[in-house]
Amino acid sequence: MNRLVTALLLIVLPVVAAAQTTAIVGGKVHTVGPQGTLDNATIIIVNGRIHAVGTGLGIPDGAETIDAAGKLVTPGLFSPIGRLGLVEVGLSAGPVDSEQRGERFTAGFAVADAYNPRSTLIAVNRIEGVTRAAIVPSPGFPDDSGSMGHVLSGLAAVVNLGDEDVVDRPAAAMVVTLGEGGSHFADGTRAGAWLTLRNALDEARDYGNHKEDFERGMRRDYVHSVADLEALQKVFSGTTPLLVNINRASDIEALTRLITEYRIAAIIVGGAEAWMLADEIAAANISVILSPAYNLPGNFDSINARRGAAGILIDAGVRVALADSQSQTHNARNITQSAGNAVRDGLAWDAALRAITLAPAEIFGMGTYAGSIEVGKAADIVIWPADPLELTSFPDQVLINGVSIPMVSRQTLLRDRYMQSQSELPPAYRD
Amino acid sequence: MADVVIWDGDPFSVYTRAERVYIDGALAYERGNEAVNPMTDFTLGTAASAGGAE
Repeated sequence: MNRLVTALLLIVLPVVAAAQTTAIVGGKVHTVGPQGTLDNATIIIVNGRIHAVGTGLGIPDGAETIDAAGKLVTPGLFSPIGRLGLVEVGLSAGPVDSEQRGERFTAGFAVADAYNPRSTLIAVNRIEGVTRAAIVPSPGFPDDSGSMGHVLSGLAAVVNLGDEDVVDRPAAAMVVTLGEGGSHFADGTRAGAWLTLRNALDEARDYGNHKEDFERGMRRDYVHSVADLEALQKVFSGTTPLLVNINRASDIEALTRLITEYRIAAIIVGGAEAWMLADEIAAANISVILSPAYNLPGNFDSINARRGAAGILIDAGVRVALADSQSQTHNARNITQSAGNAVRDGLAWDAALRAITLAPAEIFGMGTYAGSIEVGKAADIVIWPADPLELTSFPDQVLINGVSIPMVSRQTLLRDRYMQSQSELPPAYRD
Repeated sequence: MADVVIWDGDPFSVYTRAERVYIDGALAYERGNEAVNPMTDFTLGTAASAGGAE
């Protein structure tokens, strides 16, 4: 019986797949790839991937056609940091799944297992153009039982905001909090936070080099659990960079020394003073995720925060992704505003679009798969009626992996219900 | 009260900057004019004073 079902699927699937061809016709396409910007262009999508991009392309028979004449077409937006699908309501422990606490695990804490693709917030963000997102754990402050987080808070994931196969990379980065923030998790000392990280890396390297001895009980005890040490092996193998929350220039200098010593890769999050070390950061091949509007000395790590930092870093050759704030849940969609703010402060428009599409995809190891409109990549595409970086722009249609998503969220449903002001029915009895 | 802002574009656009701000008729801010671009004691002498916290 099972064999019969399998045989039937084999026959049926290719026929269905062949029908999944879509053509987006006539738009001004910002590819964020080698083809640059194309006027009156056509994008052919087959089975969720971009099959062809160009002007004057023939449309395959049977293709679903989307008219984009007079519209702007961009890659899907990639939120570079946040807690989308991990937090439903803040300030309440139940629906907050991003915070790592307790003594049992640190580096091994993986948020991918807690991601909720059915959260109402997924639709809220994807109908405004966000198609993929990096979601990150953070160190929890003490809860009612006094349990608190650690300098290493675990593995960030990349998810897509579609409806199937939603986790793209379950171990996209290892999240570390240093500087003033990290000192809270190291008995109040900045150097203690660095030492905590070094000790974790040393133990992980020792464990990785002597696994058989460890299994035989012939190795010293480690502070970290095996789950943590296994997770840290990914940092040494090069697939999982450190994602380091730091702002102060001296901490950035310490980070460049550390990654050189351990031969590992790193991404800076925050980076209020990164602009002061733009050349050093470029030379160390460190990427930076920052909020362009963050220009106030919020603490002593950020005294030299300034506008225009994104442009200074990009001009120096640093890969920069633009964020709204680290705690994005409802409003990952606001990265378009961040990009617009950066343009206001002097960044080129094309560079700003790259910083919310291809750059974050590259930072999280997805650069060959998503982030731009190029042949072979996943068809994450947004059709806009006007400049996507303006606050008043709202997408006409969003495609994720080639699928046109319903342009509906809980927010639009509530809006439509309460717009029926002439209805004699109470709201709960309306559509 | 003569509280007036002169913008370099559509005030609802993300790209628009304030060129000049008048409060009670007096020029309180002008972009690029050091004489009317106040700097706090806190910022004085920091790297940010070269273009930082505004």
